[in-house]
Amino acid sequence: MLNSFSLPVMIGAVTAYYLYEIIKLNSRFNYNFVVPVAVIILIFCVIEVVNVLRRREGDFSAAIDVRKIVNTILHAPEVRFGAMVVAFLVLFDFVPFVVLSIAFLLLSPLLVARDPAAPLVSWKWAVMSVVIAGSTYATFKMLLDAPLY
Amino acid sequence: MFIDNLAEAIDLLTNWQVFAAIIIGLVTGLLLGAIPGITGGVAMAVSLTICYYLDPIVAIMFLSATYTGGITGGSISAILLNMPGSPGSVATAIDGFQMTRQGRHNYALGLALFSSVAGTFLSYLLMGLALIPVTGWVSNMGPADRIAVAVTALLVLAALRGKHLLRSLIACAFGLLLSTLGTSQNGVLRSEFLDMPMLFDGLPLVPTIIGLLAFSELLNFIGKPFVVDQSGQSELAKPSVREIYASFGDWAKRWKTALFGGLIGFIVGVIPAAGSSIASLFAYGQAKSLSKHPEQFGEGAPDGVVVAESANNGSEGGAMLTTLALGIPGSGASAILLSGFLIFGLVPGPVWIANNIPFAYSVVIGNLLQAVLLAVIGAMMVARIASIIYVPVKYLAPALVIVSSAGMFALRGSVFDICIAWLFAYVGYIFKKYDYPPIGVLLGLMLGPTIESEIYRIGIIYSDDYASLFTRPVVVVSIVVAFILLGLPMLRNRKAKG
Repeated sequence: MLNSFSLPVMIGAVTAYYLYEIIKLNSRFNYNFVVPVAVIILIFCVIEVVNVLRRREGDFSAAIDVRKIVNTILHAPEVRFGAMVVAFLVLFDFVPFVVLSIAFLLLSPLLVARDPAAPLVSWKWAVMSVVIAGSTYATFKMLLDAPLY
Repeated sequence: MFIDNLAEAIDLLTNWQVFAAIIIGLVTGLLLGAIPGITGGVAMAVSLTICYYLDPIVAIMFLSATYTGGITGGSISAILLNMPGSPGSVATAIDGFQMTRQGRHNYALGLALFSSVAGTFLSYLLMGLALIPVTGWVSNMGPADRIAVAVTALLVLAALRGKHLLRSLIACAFGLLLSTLGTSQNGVLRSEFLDMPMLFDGLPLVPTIIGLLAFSELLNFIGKPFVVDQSGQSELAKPSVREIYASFGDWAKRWKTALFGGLIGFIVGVIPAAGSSIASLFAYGQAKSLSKHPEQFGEGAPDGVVVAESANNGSEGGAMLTTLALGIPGSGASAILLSGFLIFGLVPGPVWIANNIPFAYSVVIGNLLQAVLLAVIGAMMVARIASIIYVPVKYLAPALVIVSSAGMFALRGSVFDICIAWLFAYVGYIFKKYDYPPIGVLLGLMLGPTIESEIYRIGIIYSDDYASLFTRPVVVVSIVVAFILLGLPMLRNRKAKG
């Protein structure tokens, strides 16, 4: 999905958008520091893109190949793990922290392990999950008396 | 006066919480540092949130003990498996693993442990001696000097850390840009980036550090069943505490090598962004070239282990000196340590040291104490640590994620902080994958406010005579260093192309 070509393009795009916001605000403070830094990044990114293209290091077609991107999203374990974290964050407001943590700890081996035939959870890990989630909750609750749901 | 400060420093340390923090920090660092890929910095980042609930001195001792433990733990997997647990242990693996193959793993582990203790002790002793003179020198620096040093630190990092200079420079500059999110140093709202009010105060530092340094490393493991691939590995040699201690006599005969490694480590550590890996590799190279038997290096030479380990731990005191005196973090670990200070509103630098000499001394004395405790705890832990190296990723990664996430949420009761950590986890992961060093982003982020506020000051002080900026020695030296750092790789590239 990403390659040596697309990364400087993305950094450049984020920088250009931020620069646009900064210029829109038109504050003289920004012109002393933010604008020069942003311009330097844009120049460096352009040079890097040219370098990558010259070395034929980046695969431009891969960066715009939708089918490949979708395939990567579906199959990359890093992305699956990230999706689980997002689900964790979305549910954070509705499900008690301890329950959510135990579910996360129990389910994540399924997403992390490469071998689909590997056993999902063992009793040992199930007990450990409860201990880890419970002790983490108790520690922070005790330290701050924070409302960790 | 000195005695009064010393007495006050010792008084600050005579607290059971300090001892507990050192012991827990060392154990945490040794355990996590032994796992290849989880460096002392990652261990510190994961533990950072707990510091909010501790006293400042307890928190700082906890973080520095975690780092010391992490560096030493890295040598265990380097010696037993030829897989350095941290970049600082790369040089240790060269001779350490050869010794393991020769059945001398306990001897190698003992040499590494005692050298780590000696390196840590020596570097903090030197730091204690240098702290006040260096602070006096730094306090005479003007805004231009401070910008010059900060920019040089970024350039050193770019030149030394990344495979591609340009990519490292982009990472550093991107960090500087991120530091400008929210309100400017003059208190003016700079931008309403993506209309997110949560960013009006800038990026939250702790979640960003945890994401960039800790979570991004964990993502590297996702998809692998184990951190260390057990296929093709011979059975792990079993360490013995008694034999580890038995190596002390032979280590003591090599005190000159340990002293040499510690000294080089300290000097390299002072250079911002140089870090423990460069310190140990440089010291190893020097020891080899000065040795009467250079041919033994790489074949299981005990001196190779001694010099590498004393140098990587020796760099810690040097990095701490730069962090405390200049407020410039030299590595990921010292950036986390600096953020540990910032959590409590302590801004390291000459002004802070002048007003808090006992606290600064207590950091030094606490670390000397830590070095002594490392000798005891390290030897006791080695036998147990060896088995954690084969921990399955499916258990390690989620457990660390839960502990860190809970800590982050508890800080402000905000899910936004966890979102920021995960955003930067993927930024760090992708950056690292394509040789954009994430530590460059972090250093830029931390140095940005300093550079920006000094630029405003220069605008006021030198508005009618900018040329006089270039007459200051620190600025001139920094410009020369910048030319060398940027020019050498370009010349080398041109030469390589023929």
